[in-house]
Amino acid sequence: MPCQLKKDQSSAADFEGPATKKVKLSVRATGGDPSAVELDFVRYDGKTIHSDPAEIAIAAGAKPLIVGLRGLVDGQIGHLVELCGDGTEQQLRRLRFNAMDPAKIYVLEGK
Amino acid sequence: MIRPWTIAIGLAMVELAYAQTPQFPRLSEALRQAEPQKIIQKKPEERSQEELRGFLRDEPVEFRDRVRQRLQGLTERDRERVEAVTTTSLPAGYRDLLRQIEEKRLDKQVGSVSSSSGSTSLVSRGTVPRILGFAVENGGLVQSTRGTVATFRGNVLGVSRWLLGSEQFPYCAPTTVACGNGSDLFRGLAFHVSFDASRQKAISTNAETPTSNTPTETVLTGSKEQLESWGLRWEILNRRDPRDPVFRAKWREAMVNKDLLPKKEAFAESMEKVAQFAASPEFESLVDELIKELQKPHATGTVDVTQIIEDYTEKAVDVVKKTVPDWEKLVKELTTAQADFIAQRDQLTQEALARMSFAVDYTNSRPVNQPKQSNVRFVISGSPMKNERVLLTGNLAFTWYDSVPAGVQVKQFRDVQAAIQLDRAVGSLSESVDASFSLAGYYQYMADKALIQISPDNLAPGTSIPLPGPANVLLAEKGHIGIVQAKVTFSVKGSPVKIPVALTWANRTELIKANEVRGNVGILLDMDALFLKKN
Repeated sequence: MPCQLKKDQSSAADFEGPATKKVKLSVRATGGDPSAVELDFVRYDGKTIHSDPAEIAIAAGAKPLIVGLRGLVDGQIGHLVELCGDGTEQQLRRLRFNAMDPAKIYVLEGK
Repeated sequence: MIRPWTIAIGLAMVELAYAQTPQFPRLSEALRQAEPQKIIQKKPEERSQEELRGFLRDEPVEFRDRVRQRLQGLTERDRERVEAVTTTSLPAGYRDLLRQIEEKRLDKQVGSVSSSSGSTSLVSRGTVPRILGFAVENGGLVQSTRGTVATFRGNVLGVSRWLLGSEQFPYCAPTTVACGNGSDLFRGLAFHVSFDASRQKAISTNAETPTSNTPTETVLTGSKEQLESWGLRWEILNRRDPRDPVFRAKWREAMVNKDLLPKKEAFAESMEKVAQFAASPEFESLVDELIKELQKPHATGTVDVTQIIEDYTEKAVDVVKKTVPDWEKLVKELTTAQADFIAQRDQLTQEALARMSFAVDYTNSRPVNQPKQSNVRFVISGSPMKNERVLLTGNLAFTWYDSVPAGVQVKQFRDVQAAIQLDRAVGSLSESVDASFSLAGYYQYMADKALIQISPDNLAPGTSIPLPGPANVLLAEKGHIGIVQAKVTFSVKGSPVKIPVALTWANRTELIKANEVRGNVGILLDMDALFLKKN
């Protein structure tokens, strides 16, 4: 399964994808320690997914995508990634773990 | 005259107070990092719209989250504004939660130690106030003499920060190993000083030592004569190595704890409600404007780019306020849900990682008519039953005379003590009063006869026995002292006041070989709760 999400920097949304398609999201820590920052939850289209990777179905229109993080190292850099099904991963955004403010806002648009 | 050591202590306090890592780093600092500098160092007209959009969306800028943080009042800029009227900038929801946790804690030692002539604590508890504590207690537990002792306790870091007007309760996640440069080392360093207000008259008039039957005027002057004891304590934090597999397994267990799930759900839901602004056309128009501004010739260096982004953060906040109905309510709900989630997460983590706390206490005491003594006490405390309403505390202590007067045949090593206490939160007695119950057992082995120093015309302390000897007297036999204590501590909700009332039975005291039943009462003020109330 190829990657579904497009990072179009000319778009108002962070990511675009075909509505109704499912995508798997996760977080990868930069450096050798995967537990330094991990995906804790994803909130999208009124549902919270507590598993890692988090699978969501792309909804039509631009909607906020909340990515909750957990980690052992405050300030750790990581990436939000899409798991593409064919064993590849697509880096979507660089992020930094803050234990006091552990969730990030993105916008995902289903077309 | 200012001595060099006072300047050194002052400088160390300044260093400690400002050694904390900021929770929300300033934008100006974030933009000095390598990735943003790649964009900033380009000529403004050479910055493409696409790369500027990525610059604003990626860390460290994360423009949407900065707008949301500003709405929540979590940013450094908000801190500066707030500090004009108050010394602290914690979000209200987080502050309320911390205050509630403080009020429910069983493990704080505010009053004097058991060897004092005025104490209600047979066992020293695991932690002390994070800023300041004050206690007045009447009646000794182990000693024969009885006094009214005022104890001041303080945490070195907390007091430094208070004196310099810094944040009193900086956030520090339990998993964060380096929470603030050198300040971690001093976070657990505390001190106490106790004064026996009932001593003044006895000393100034050379009258008999006050007893419970001889009421005396008790005026706390803080004079050297009234100094009963001073001490230092180091709370050894059980921060284990995060590379350790056991540590990681326990951390992961805490992160997926079922109790955390509802808090996480509420946080995620309220975050999504607030984040609706990020998908609105009004907000996107503003981002387009910001991108154009960053392409203009005046957007050259880090300072200018910082200023432009800060200005647009303010504009975006105004846009949200105008376009999102009930924004204030939504943001308040988010802040409360976020604080609730963080506190629960960290409490579970703390419990999983360090169910026990350890402390070492050194106390130098000056009992009435006895030589100065030093005491080292090891304190272990925790909730082995995995119930936060039950606390078990154990003490092991050793006492020795600082010096033995010439001509007296007595060992310098004085005694060894062991004690254990069970605390149980009873709950609310009324709308305004909570209570906890404590049961304690104490054992002391006197390695030799107790040494007292007293003039011949005086009586043995607490008795009507005339003493024949001139100066140094060995009284009572060496041997075993056993004490049991039942105590109820009343706490007034929403206030720093706690009132312990204790009943103690002892098979003997240090000086007198006879059974004794005593009542002890005190007033404890834990100023941590007061600082958390201040807003």
